[in-house]
Amino acid sequence: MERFGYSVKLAALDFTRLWASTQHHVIIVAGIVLPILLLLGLKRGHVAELREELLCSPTGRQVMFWSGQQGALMTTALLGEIEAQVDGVEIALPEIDRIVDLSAGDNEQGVTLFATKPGDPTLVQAGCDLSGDSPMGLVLSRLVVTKLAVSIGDDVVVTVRRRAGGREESATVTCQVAGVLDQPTEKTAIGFANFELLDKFEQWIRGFQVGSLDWPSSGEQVGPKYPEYLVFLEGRSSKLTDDDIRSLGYRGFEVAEDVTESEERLGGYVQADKAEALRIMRLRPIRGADAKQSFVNYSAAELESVTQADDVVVPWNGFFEVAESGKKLMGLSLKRRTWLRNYLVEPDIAFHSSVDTASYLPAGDQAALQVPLRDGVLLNVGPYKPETVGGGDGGEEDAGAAEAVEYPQDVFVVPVQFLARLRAYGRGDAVYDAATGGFVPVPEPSVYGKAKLYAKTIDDVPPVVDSLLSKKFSVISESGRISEIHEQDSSLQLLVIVVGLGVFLFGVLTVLSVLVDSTDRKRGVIGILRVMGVSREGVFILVLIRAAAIGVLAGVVAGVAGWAIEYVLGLQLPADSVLAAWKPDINIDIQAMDVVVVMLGAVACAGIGAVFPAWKAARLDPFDAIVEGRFS
Amino acid sequence: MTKPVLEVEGLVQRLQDRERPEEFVVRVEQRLTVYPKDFVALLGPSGCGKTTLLTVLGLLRAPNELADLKQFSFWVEEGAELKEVDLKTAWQRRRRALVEGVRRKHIGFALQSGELLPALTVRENIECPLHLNGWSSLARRERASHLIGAFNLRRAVAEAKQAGRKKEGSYDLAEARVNKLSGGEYQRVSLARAIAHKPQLVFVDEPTAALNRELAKGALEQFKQMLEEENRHAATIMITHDEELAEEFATVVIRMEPSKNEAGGRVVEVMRKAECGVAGMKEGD
Repeated sequence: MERFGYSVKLAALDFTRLWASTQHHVIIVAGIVLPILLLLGLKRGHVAELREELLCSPTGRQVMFWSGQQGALMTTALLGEIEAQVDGVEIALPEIDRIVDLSAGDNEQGVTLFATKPGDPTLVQAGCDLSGDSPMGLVLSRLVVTKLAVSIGDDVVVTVRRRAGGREESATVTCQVAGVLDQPTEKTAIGFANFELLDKFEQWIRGFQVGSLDWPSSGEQVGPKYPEYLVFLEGRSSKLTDDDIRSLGYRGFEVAEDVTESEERLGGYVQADKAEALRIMRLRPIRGADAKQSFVNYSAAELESVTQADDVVVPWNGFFEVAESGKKLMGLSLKRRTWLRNYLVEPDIAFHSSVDTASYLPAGDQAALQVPLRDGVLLNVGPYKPETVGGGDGGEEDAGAAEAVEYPQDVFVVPVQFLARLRAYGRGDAVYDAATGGFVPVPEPSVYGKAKLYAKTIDDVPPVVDSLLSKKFSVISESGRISEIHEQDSSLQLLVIVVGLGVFLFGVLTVLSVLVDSTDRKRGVIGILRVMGVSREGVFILVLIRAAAIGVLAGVVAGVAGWAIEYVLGLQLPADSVLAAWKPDINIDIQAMDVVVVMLGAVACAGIGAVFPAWKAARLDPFDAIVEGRFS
Repeated sequence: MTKPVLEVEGLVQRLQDRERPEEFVVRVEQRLTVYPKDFVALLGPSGCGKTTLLTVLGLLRAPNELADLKQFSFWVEEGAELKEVDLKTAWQRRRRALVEGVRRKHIGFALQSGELLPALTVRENIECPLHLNGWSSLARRERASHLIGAFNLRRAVAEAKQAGRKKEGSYDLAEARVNKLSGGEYQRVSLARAIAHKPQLVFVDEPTAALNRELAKGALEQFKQMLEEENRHAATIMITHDEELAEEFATVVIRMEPSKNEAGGRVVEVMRKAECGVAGMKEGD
């Protein structure tokens, strides 16, 4: 053991004190292992990047789908479900675009904005992804940015246009440039915006109000719909015939006679002494599964024409209680000439069917009314001065009756359409548009014709496609391209292995040759040691230890050189510098573990390479070694 | 009767060399006996096989005609006595470890060019055989210091101290690498290393090959004195061409001549000087 320790000491002293004759061996072995280290660095850096690009290429991972077979509406909610529930899906996006005008200062440019959202792989790959906290961000192509003379962070005004009621309207919103897309091959004016923003543009173009952008509706109010109609017949014995009832049934109505007293008197607007002469029935839509089907919009005249009886059909919304006022609103609109007007306390107290305003007919000394809406908004329902409609057939009788009129003080008569919209507002089917002063439809969720998703990796594409097909979506994917990418990936891996193996084998051979040479140069010393009684085994160990030391030091030198190369290649030079044109755009990632592996490899390489020289040295004839050593 | 240190008879050593057209044969037909305190001079012209004989007697090579070998024995010191090691049998039985042990412990070499280890200092070179023979650290240090002093290897520092100042560039030879030494110093270190582990037989190969005669004589005198003082059983075999040197130092002269019928050489004369007065020395025919 002591002699072994002394062999180690001799090897160390020989290595350090005769450094001048050892250094070139270290440099040669370092020169051999450095390419291996760089290869590892390339594999972890550049090759991994290439592989990542291949396997995670947005193009390869993209799946287009639409509900051709399924017939379901493609909504944001549906895309959210697919994103959450289908394994292997990274992100799903509607395939929509919108042409808008962008302006910044005096510069303007028409741009097609495509839908995106944070994490969109296409933009992530291009390095200009929308961040999650910039819903108003835009990613614009270099062409657009140049024409608008803006840069990242600058404001641009987006103008959206629509045609409504025969006129053109526009709305603007200020967005920020969140990224610039460099696509040297495509000189097109394009951009990307969050799909939710594009949805809002779409809603506005369709005439909806967009509250979050303070964009008004087109002013077109929500269509009035009624839950029921009242059918008035003269004479208590009058009734609808079976044919009438059947015909109404064909139109989806059922006839009922459950009319309340208040309804019979139309809130007190039917003369008390004539009420007995009226027979009133109720028409209700036959309810389907969809609650919205309970509200219909048939004209009263159409329903009247269905029946053979001389009936008057009145759209009916019941009585609307105005909060905190003790008042009620009753929608009552009649044709100009109808016998029913003669039954009213005053023929003109019912609106004409064509009148559609937020008004009430003043009756007696009733004051203006304020109807509270949501969010503290008060809707003024003002008095309306109607044209004299002239009553029905008995004009003289009406004039005499007018003098004895007693108007109900707690019920206001309003146009039936207005009350229908107020009811729709109460149900949440309409919103109040302060800009137009009307009740406009609630924006409907956007429906997309087509959508796309990105699988997490190209390997996830086939199961995702299968899953979409099982949900009866029509699908287009890049399956053929995926096979091609797999082949390219295999080739890349094979290339790394073959080159690495070649370098390693060449390394072992070179180290062998270097150490044979090194050992030959040490023959004299080996001979002296053998003469002094060092055994063959001792000489063998001595040569191996020296080779291992060369391997360790070569590993250190290669590690330092490798890191230096990594540093130099990682330097970001100014784009206009001369050196930048020469510097390869290559990424080397050498980690400490790589250096350890290479150092162990160098030791193994030197160890394997030293076995033969050590064996040869151990078998040297001591005296021959000394004599030959004198001349080496 | 005094026991010898080395005795060999009937030695035939054949060398095959790819660079030589024919076999080279060295023959020792008569009995050669080396006794304690002998200083043997092995004389002969170049090419007669002196070095080949040295490699066999020094146990560096195995004799390759063991059938012809009548005797090959080495007597090693065991306490106050000498004990015979039958090297013929050891070679026959391929007991390489035994032979290497005898060489390591009981034989010293001061070769033609000194052959010091270039990576080591003077002290480390002298301590080398002590390390290999398991001497303790303290014993190694003391022994090396003793030899360094005896062979006058502190000269440079001593001179500097004598001048009362640290001379620029001066150094302690003992701690200097051997490439700093002069030829004479180099040879003295080689001799010091050869006797460092107190061997019983020391081979000195051509001491005047790399030095002038005067320096070689000075070194040999120091060497001989040290050997005689320290080991009463020790003997020396010196290979030389130098008759004058042999005349001055040798107690036994062995002459070799080239063979007439074959390539090689043979021992032709073993002559013991009368004044040596050692009994029991047997001379061959």
